[in-house]
Amino acid sequence: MKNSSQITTRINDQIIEIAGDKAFMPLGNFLRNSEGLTGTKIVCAEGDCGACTVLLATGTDSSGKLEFKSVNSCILPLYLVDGAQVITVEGIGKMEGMKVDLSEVQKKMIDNNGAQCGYCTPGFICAMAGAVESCKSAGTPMTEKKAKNYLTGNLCRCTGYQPIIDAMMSVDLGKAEFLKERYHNAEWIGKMKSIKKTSVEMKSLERSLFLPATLKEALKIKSQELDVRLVAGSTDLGVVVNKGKLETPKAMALYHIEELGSISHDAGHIIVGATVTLTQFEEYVENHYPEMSRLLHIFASPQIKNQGTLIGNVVNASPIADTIPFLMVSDAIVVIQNESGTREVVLKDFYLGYKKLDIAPDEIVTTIKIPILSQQEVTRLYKVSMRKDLDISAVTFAARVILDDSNKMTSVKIALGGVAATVVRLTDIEKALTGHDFTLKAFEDAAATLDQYIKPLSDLRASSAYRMLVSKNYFTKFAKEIIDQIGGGK
Amino acid sequence: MSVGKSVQHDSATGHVTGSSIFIDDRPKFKNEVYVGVIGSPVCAGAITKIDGSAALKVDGVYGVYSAKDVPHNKWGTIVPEQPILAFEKIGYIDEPVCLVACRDEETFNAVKKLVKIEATSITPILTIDDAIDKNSFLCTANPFVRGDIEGALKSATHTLKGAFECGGQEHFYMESQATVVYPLENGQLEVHSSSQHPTETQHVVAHSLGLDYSQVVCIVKRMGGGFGGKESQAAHFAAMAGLVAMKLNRPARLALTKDDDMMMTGKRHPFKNFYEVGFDDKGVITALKVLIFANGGAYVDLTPSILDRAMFHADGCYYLENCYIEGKAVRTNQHSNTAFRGFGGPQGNMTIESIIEDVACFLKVDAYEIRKRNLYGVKDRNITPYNQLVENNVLPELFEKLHTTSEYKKRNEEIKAFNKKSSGKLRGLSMTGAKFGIAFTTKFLNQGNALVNIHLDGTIQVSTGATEMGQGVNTKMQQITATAFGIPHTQIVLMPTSTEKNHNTSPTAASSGADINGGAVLKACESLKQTLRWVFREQHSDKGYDGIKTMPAVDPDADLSHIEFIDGNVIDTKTSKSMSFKDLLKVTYLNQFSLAGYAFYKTPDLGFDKSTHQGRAFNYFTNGAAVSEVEIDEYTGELKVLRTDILMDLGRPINPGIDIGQVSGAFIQGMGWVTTENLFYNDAGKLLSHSPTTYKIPNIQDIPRVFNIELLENHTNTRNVMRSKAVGEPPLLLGSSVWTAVKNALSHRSGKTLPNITSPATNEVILMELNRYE
Repeated sequence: MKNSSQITTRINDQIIEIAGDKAFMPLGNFLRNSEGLTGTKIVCAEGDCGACTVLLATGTDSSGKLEFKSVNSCILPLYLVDGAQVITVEGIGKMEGMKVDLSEVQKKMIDNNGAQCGYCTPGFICAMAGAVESCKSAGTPMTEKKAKNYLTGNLCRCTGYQPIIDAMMSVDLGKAEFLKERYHNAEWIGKMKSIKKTSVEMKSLERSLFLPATLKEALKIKSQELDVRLVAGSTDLGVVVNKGKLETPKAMALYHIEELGSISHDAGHIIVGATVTLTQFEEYVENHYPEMSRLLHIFASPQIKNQGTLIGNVVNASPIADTIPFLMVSDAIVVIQNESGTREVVLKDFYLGYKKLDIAPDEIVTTIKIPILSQQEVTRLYKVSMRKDLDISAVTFAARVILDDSNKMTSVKIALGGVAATVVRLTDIEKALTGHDFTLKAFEDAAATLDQYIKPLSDLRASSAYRMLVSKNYFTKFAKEIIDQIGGGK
Repeated sequence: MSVGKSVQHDSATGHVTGSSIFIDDRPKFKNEVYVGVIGSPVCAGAITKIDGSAALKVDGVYGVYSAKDVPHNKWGTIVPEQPILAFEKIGYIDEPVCLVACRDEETFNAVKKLVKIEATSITPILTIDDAIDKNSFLCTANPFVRGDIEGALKSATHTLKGAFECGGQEHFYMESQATVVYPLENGQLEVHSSSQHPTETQHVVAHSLGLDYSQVVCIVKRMGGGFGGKESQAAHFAAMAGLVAMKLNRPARLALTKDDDMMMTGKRHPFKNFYEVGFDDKGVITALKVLIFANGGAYVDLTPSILDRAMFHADGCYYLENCYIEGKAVRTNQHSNTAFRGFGGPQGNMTIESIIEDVACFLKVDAYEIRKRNLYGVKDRNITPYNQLVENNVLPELFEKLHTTSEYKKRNEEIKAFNKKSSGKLRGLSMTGAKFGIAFTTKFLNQGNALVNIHLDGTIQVSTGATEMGQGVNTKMQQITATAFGIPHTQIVLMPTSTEKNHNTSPTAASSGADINGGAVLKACESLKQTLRWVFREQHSDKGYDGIKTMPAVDPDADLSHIEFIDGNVIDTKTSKSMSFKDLLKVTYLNQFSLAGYAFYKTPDLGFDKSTHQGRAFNYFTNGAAVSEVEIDEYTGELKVLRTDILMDLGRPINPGIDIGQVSGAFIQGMGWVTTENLFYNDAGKLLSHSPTTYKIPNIQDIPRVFNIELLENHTNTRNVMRSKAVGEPPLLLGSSVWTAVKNALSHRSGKTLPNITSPATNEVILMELNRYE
C-alpha cells in the first residue's frame, strides 16, 4: 500500500490538500481561519451547540452517490476528513459572486422567520439540509418528530425553535435539490476511494499522525508507538483537546481501515467494528434491541452519533457513558488485538477503575460482540439528566431478566451508571433476586439494600441523595413496567 | 402599507447563507493581534503580582497588561466602581485581571499558563443569606407603600408567610462577547463591538484610555444575540481591546470563548423574596408585604434599576389594596449580575404568581379563579402600588379569552382524573400573566435619535441608535420608513449603528428599541415629508421655477397634509395632481433642499419620582397570559411540557411575524430559566456549569408538545409609534407558567402541606419535593 504525507479533502467544490501540523486543526477553525468560510460558527467548541454543523460524506451509498451526514466541525480534526467531501453553509445555496440562488431549506427558513440573530442559523441550515438529504434518500416524508430528531444537536437561543420546526415542515422535498446529485463528481469519488486505501503518515518535530489503511498496519504502529492515541470519531477527544485538557502529539486514526467499519451478526451475536458510528449501530439494532435503539434516540445529537463510535463510547470508559449499562447487562464481549493475537474480555471485567481498562499499550479494541436477546428476556434501559435530550446522564440504569414460564427469575443482570467510578454491575443484588418470583416487592426489597453497594457522589449534575433516590426508584419503575408487560405478575 | 405586514427580517438572506458578518467573521489585518483574557484565580482577596516575563519570551507574544496599564481603571453604568482589570481588590473568581496580546488564539492557549499570578485570598460572600448576615448590601430602594399593611395583615381572614427563591440565568447569546478595535490617525479608535449600547461602549473605551469621546467611534453592525448581556457588559471588553490597540498601535481583536464568557460575565440576578400575604375566603388579596433581595454580584452595574423593576412587577397583574414592597440588593463575590431580558421583572412577577398558587392550594380553589378575582380592574382597582393608572386595561379580556381557547376548565378536570391513577406520572396546569411596564425606569434614557438619508433614486438609508440583535428592530424601522413615504420596504436600508451618526443614545434595551428609535425615525420622516410636500406644492404652483428662481424656505407649520405619499407617488388629494416620489426627489434636490432628516425623540409624559416612588413610571403596559400543562415522571422528577397556549396584547404589531418569533423565543427562554438552566458553583464560588455540556438551555425537544401563540386585537395604544407595543421582554415572564404548573402538579400529592420549591424546578428539586410528601 502506498503512503501519503498529506491529507486531501473537498470542501464545497474545491479540493484542498493539507500537510504538516495543520492536519490536527479542527475542521471548523480551518474553514474560518484558513479558507475564509466564516459562515460556519464556533460557539461551544465541544460539539454541544451545533453552530459549527457541516455536511460530511466519507463514502457513497449503494448508488455510488455521496452520502451526506451532519457533523460538528468544531471537534473534528482535519485528518478525519481525509478523502471526504465537506459541504459548508456557503455550499448549500448556489453562490455566484455576491449573488445567491437560495436552496429550498433556506427559502423556507426565511419565510417562517426561522432566523433571528443569525448566529446559529448556518448550523441549522446544514442540519436541515442533512435531514432533507436523508429523507429524500430514504424516500420518506418529513414528520415533526423527525424534524426535531434531526435538529436535536442545534441550539438556538432566539426563536424558541417553533419557527424552525415550521420551516422544516414546510420544505417541499420534491423541490429541494439533492446535494448528492449536485456534488456528484465521478473523478473526485474515484479519488476519495483511492485516498481511503492509502495510508497517511506525517511527522514533524512536535507531532506524528498515522492513518493506516489496514488493521495489520495499525497493530504494527501500535506496537512501535506505544503512546500513540487512537482516534475513532473524536467526539470526546476533540472536546478535551479544545478545552486544553489534553494534547495529542501522536495520533492514529482508524477510519481508513475498512475491516473495522462493518456491523454484522451471526447466530448468537451482533458484531460491531471499531469505527462503526452510533448512527450505524442505532439503525442496525432497531430490530434486535429496540430498547437500546430507543435510548440512542435521546443519547446524543445526530451530529455526534454520525461521528462518534460505539467502541469509542466503551473505551472512553466514562461512568456515565450511556451505552455501557446496556452492554454490561448484555454481557458484551470486547475483542482486543495486538500483533501477536486476539483475546476476548467480558465487558464487566474490562473496567478496572475510573477510566482504567484491561488493555495493554500495544493493544487495540477492534470489535465488540453483543449477545442477541432471547425471547424470555426482558430488558429496560433508563437514564436521567438535567435535560432529556443531548445531556450527560446523572444516573443510568439497565436491567435484563430472564423469566421462566411461571415468571420466576432465572437470571438477573442489573447495571448502574453515575453512582461509582465506573458503570457497576450489582452482582449481590442480582444473586439475591435470582430464583425469586418477579414481584414489585422483590424489587422494592432489593432497592432497600442499595445503600450497602453504592455511594454516589455529588457534583454539578446531581446530588448524592438524588442519585440514590433515582437508583432506588428505577428498581420500582422497572418492576412495574415489566409487570404491566407480562400481565399482572404475582 | 408596509407596517402591519410580516415582511422578512432584513438580514434573513445573509443569515441563511452564512454571509452575515459578525465581529469575529471580519477579515484579519496582517498586523492584527489576538487579545487573550486571564481571570482571577481567587474569589475574594487581592492580586499581589502578575509576572508575564516568561510568556513574553515566547514567539508571537507582544504584550502582557494588567491594571497598572489602564489609564482610568474604573467604569460602571450607574456607579463607576468596577475595574476594567482587577488588582488590589478582587470581586469574583475568573474576573479579568490580565491581558495577553499575541499572534492568535493558539498562541494564547499555549502561553496563558506561563503568566504567573499571585494572589491573597479572603473568605468570599457567595449567597444572599450569607450577604444579609454579613450586612453586605449594594443598594436599597425606597419601598412602595399603600394602605395600612400591618393592620390589613392583622385583620386578614387568612395569612401565609414564605419565601420565593429563584436562581440566576446565563444569557447564552450564541455569539460570545466580541470586539475589534482599529487604531486610526491622530489617536483615534474605531471600535467594532457586539454591544447593545454603542454609546456607553464608546464612552467607556474613551474614558478608560484617557481619550476624548470624539476620538472614539463605536460601530455595531449586529449581535449574535444580546438578551441584556451586552447592555453594559460589552463595554469593558471593548476597553481591553482598545488598550491593546493603543499600546501596540495594531488592530486588536477580543472574542471570548463560550467558557470564558460564561465564567467572566454577569447573569440574571438570583432573588430571594420574603413575603406575607393576607387574603379573604374568596382568595382576594387584602394585604401583601414583600421584602425583595437581589444578588447583585460583585459590582453595582445595573442592579439598582433591576431591583426597581422587580419591585414594579411584584404586583404582577393583580391589584393590591394594601401593600408594602421593599427592595435591597446584596453584594457578593460573584460575577457582577446584569441586565437580562425582563430586567428584574420576571423575579418580581413570579413571586406573586407563586403566592397565588399557594393561596389557591390553601383554599382548595382553582388558581385561575384566584387570579381572576385579583386582576386589575378596568374601571376600578386599577391603580398600581406606585400610583400609576392602568389605562386601557385588557387583562380581564385576555385572561378570559385564553381560559376559553386553551380549554383550561376541561383539561383541569382531566388532569385531576389522570392524577388519581397511579401511573408514575403526575400532571399540572397553570395560567400566569404579565403586565410589563414599557419605558426605562431611569427617565432620561427614554430618548433617541435617527438619521434618514433619501437618495435620488428613491432609496433610503436609515441610521438610528438601535442595535440589531436578531429582534428585528431594523426591519421595523424599514417598515415605518416605507409606510411614511408610501414606498416598498425593500427601498429602505438600515445602516450599521454608529456613534458618529447617532450619539448620546440609550441602550437597545427595556424592550423599547422599536418604540424610541421608531418614534425618532417617524419624526425624521415627517420633517422630510414636510419638505417634499412643500416642494411639491411650489412646483405645482404657477410660480414658474426654472432652476434659477429660488423656492422659499419650508414653513414647518404649513398644513400640507392633503399631499399624500401613496404607492410610490406623491398626490395632492385636493387637486389630484401627482408625481412620482422619485421625480419629486429630483426636483427637491435641484431646488437645493436637504434630503436628510435628523430627529430627536423622547417618550412623553413620564413622571416617576424616585424619592417618593410614586408616579407614571411607564408609557404603557404590554400584556400577556399563558397556560402551561406539565407532566412529571414520579420516579425521576423529569419534566415535560405537554402544551402551552399564549395570548399576547401587542397593540397593533408593526411586524406580526417577527413579534410572534419574539414571543416564542422569550417564552422558551423563560421556561429554560425556571426548569433546566441551573448555574452550579462549587464551594469556592467558581462556576462549574460554564458550557452547554453542563448548562442546559432548552433544545428543540424541550418546547411544549403543543405550542399555540395568538395575538389579541387591540387598537388603543395611541401612546406608541403606529399604535404598536413593545414585545422583547414581556413574554419571557410567561415562562413562569411552567413553574407554577409544576407547583400545581405537586399540589395533587402534597396533602396538607403547600408545595414548596425553588426555581429552577430541576428534576432533582421536583423529586426531592415529592419525596418529602411520602
